[in-house]
Amino acid sequence: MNVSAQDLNALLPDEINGYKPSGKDTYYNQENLFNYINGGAELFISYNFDKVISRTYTLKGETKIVAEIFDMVEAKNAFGVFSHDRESLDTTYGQGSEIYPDAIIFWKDRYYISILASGETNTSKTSIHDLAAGIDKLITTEGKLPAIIAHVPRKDLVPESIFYFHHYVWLNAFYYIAGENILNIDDNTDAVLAKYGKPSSRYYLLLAEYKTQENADKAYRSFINNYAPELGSNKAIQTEDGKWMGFSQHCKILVGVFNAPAKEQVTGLLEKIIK
Amino acid sequence: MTKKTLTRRKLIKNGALASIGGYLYLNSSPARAMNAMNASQSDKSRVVLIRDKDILNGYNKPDPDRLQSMLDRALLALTGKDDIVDAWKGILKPEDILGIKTNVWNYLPTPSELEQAIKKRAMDAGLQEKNIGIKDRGITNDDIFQNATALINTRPLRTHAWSGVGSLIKNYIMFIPNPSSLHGDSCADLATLWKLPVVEGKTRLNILVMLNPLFHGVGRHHFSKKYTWEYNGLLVGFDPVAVDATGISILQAKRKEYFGEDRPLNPPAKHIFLADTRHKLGTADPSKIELVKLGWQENCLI
Repeated sequence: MNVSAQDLNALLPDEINGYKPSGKDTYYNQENLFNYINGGAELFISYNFDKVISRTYTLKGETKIVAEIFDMVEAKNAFGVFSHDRESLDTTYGQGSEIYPDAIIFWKDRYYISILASGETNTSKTSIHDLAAGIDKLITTEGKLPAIIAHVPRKDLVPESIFYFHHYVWLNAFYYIAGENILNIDDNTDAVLAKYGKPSSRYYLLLAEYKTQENADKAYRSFINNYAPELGSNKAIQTEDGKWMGFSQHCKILVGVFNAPAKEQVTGLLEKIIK
Repeated sequence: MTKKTLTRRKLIKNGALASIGGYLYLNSSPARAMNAMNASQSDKSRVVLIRDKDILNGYNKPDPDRLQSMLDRALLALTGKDDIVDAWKGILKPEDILGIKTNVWNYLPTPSELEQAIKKRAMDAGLQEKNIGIKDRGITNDDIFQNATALINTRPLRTHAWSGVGSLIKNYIMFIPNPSSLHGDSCADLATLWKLPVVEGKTRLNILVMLNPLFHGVGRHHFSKKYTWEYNGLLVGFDPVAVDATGISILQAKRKEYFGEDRPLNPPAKHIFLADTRHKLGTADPSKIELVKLGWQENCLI
């Protein structure tokens, strides 16, 4: 369990390079987040979002800056939302950040932070960085990564690709597997997708840890029945597109490997996780 | 769940679904899709892609005259007419009450230049200005949209954090007072919007704006200009599913080009697949789409 929530408004500086808050801070929760970001709300709700503060900073003659701090309740959820956008292992801010010309996003402890300038000027660019640094400093605690990530083998891993989720909609993030929830993924499941190999010969790992052995057993049977009945007696099979896949269960954890160019890549990953 | 569950392997095995699923989910190669599209047949859904290298004066700022010309050329190709006013008269009647459904998303709205180009041609076709409305939000309380006899649907294509893409099909979500009621299963059943009495049978034209499409979204705003590009195009058709499916193919090709590997939409644009297979709103099958390409061809991606 992580630290208790800090007051969100206390995590936002009162002033940055002459930029000052314009109007009152606004807050949204699960009930009214749709009013703020419409369909985009579902991404945050799928990670058990609790509340967000939004503050607009303005400076005469400069583009405005909107800073938002999402309280995701647990660090794993803040990381999960962040993992949607991660293209690098940058840790300039918080426990992971992505930096764009007009925006910075990062996560730290249970918080997901978004800072966006509505245009690009030298002052706004400097200010979004200073604002990120200020928020980073005001969040005094760090959170733990989801425990399941420790099971992800490192050899040939694309490290920035680790993608954490516990809503079935994100199952196909890297590779289309199924249109329905054939793995029974829900809020009690911790799931990870990761990329391996080179872009031209990419293959994918899926790990899903269930709350109970019974749930894992059911999910395993569902996957085998719906996706690969012939896997019951094989560690790895070649699929219709000539690629290799494998799927196995280890106590409460299910492991899938998809799209591998060679059988050895499937068996190699499966064996590493067993160890 | 077994029989109805759609998996990658079933898509590959099932010929009837493979074409659509390959197009939307499996990142079939653009070349294969193009070959399928080029096999012209009269019973196909025609989609016109028109591009102009010099259309943009800035981000999402098209030159009004060039845009009017693009729209006119697209309409002539779509309808097979020789005269632009005749083409529009084949779509709209002078007594029509017309709602032009746009999109006001802050980072990538329907350009006002396009709204005006549509309005101009609607008036050329004989419609009275007082009977033409241009709107996105608030259409559930708008007299023109609630009494419309004709709709024209237009919006920019963009990726979307929950529905995969902001599509023409999705653009009608403002016809219901509680849009979030259709968010379930990543907006799977958005096509039901098109069966609403206020909508059904009224859409005369779909225009997917491809001037600066957003091919990847980041952050809570799901936007960075870094992930837009100057495609300088419009996709125009009568079948919204066919137009959306064609737009998705272009987005996927751009994602593959930019990231250097297959990068499927996340989540997949399930609502477009189901608009075809479940709701029969139109076709997402490239073998049933006749793509007509006009104008600038460089880096066409399809």
